[in-house]
Amino acid sequence: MIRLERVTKSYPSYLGPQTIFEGLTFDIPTDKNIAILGKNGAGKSTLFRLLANSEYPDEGKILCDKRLSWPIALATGLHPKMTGRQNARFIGRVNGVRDLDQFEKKVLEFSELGEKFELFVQDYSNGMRTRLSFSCVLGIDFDCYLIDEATSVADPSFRKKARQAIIEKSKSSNIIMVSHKLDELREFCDSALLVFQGKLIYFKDLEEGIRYYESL
Amino acid sequence: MEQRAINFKMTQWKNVVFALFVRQLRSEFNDKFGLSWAVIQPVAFILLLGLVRGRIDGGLTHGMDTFAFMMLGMVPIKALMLGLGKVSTALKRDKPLYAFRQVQPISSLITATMLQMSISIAVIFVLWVLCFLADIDLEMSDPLTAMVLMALLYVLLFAIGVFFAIAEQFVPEISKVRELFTMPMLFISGVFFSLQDIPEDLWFLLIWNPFLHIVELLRHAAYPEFSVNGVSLSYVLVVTMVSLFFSMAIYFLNWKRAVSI
Repeated sequence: MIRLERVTKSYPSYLGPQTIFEGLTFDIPTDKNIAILGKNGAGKSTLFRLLANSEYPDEGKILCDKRLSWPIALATGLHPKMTGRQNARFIGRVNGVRDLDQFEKKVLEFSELGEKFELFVQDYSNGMRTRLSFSCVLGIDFDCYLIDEATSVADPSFRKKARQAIIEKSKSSNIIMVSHKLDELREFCDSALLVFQGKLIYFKDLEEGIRYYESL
Repeated sequence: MEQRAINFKMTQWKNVVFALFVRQLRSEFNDKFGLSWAVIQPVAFILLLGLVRGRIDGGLTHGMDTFAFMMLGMVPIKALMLGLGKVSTALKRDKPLYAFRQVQPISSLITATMLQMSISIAVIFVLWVLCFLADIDLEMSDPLTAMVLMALLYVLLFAIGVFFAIAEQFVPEISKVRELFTMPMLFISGVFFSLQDIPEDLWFLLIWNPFLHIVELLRHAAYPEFSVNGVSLSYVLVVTMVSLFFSMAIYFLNWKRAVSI
């Protein structure tokens, strides 16, 4: 269970502060794979970054008794001027992985990057970056994985593999995912969380959520 | 907090700072020169200016070797000039990493300061070896005081760096002010002259600067015959503590907002 307590978040701008959430209180269940739905600018990514503790609310609290991963997005966490291997080691170190060599091996194996693992990440394609960050996050045990539109650039075979890995983990862990591609959400998730006008609505059934979202 | 939770937190901190340290070493110096450039550049700068100045005035300044006089001024001030840039930009540079919840801005600020400290140690070592090879006699009669002074320099550097790092997140133009403020440091901190060379009624223009105090006291710690007037260790100490207090207060009030912008 992730609990949001009177969360207020706004961003400064020259038009005055842009409020995304105001006094939002909500309980997000963590026993299901959740798709976050919402229009552009509704606050999906903000919600996501708040959940991941990458950003902090202006007021209020976010309480969580689970171990959440960092948000897996295209650009986060990878340093362009370091090789894939060095990046994997960095991520392992920051997350307190004991056996770095083994972690490295696991990442290399899962990502199938081969010798490109030794190249600088700045020379990677988007798909390769996704492979790398996905493999890193799946190499560490979390209760909940946060995925932000990263899956859309991976090729079908890797997506299948990632999905397989997540299903294997789903006894002990879940995912929360943001994407605009509905088939992708159907691939990974079974319930939905709609972000609409600063409010959250939870649907136990993904299809029901998608129908409601499309009728807006 | 119970002991176990504290231990866990400490290990996590250690992991993060270490990971950032390695990452910075790797990413910042991955051209052909590598890490050696970080040491060569200040060493070359110090040698060049020190030797030129030594030639011009015939070898002795205030009873100490001119080269030593210059070196003791330039090592701390060069560290300040390079370090301030590094620490102030550390927050912005590592911003994508705050996505990892364990990585907080303070870790990158501490790491940047530690990196500059390691570079200084390497610079001092290389200079010492070069002087030994060139038969230049260096004295260090009070190494303990010298170490305290260098430590205070780094705490002060950290405090000023944190202030600028946060301020520049809200008003990016402040980085220009910082550069403006760093440039003259070489001239007003007594690298080329001693406070004793300045008429006493003009001292008020210079003695507010704690780095001038550090330089003069360092020279005195190395060569006791170099006499100092008008500077004091307690002034440096007070300035350092007050700045550290204020910059930490500013940090804790603003870091969460600074990360989001």
